[in-house]
Amino acid sequence: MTALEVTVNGRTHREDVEPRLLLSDFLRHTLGLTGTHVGCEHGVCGACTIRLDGAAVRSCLLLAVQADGCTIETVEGLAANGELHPLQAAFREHHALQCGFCTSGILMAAANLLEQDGTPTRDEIVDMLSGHLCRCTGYEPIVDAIAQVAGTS
Amino acid sequence: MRVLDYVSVHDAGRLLNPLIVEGQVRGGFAHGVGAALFERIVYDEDGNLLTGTFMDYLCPTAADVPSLRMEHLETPSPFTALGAKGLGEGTTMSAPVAIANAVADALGVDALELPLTPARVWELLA
Ligand code: FES
Ligand code: FES
Repeated sequence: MTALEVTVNGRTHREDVEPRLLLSDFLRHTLGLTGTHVGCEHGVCGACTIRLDGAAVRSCLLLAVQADGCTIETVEGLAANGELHPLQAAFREHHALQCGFCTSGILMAAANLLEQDGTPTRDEIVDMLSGHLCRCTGYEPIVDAIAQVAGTS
Repeated sequence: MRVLDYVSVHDAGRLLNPLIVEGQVRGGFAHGVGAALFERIVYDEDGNLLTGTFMDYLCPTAADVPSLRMEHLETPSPFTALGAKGLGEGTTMSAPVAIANAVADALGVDALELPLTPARVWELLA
């Protein structure tokens, strides 16, 4: 077991973990934060996307121990004080989720995009989104929702 | 291959929740496009699945799904309490047919195998 300290959604956790434990499994199973989803476990679907030290990363492609000392944001941290994050509200308004499996990863990637480039164009949003698989929505409502928050719709 | 325009007209009887209706049609369309152009299940001679991961099995992404024009007919069903008809995944079945027919028409062929991968279209052109 290896000692690990991470700050997740503003809370610091100290845990002893197996060195081979995936970060996605650490979040879901050790911390119980099951909002982060695991679709493929090999970096293709984007469902497990989180923010790690301000970058959107796939938590299935990292070991938990690699996140030692890092600051993590997951979908559970998006809504503040019981209020939906603007992206979450826009997703609801545009029916940008159906089963919701892809949603948490896309929300985190979109939040990251908006923080790095406040006004991404529709093409830039599609480009970001092309790293995420969604089998329900046909993507267009997701692009609409993100574009609305970015003010570029 | 690029889908230049696609129009979907669906009769789901009375539309109880238009947002969900459009979501189902759009999502079904994305599935249909996947079946027509990308998604291929391949087995080797011994019956092993060669396309068992998203690395080998190509799903359409946001950049691949063309935009869709949508119209609705509303002929209420006399058989259901609210006049609604089935809609789940509307256009999943029709999109591959429409796309295949468009390609068959363009190339003057009448037998096509889906998905229409670049290699297959190339063969049809040869
Ligand atoms: S589960 Fe991580 S990318 Fe699919
Ligand atoms: S909403 Fe079901 S996979 Fe995206």
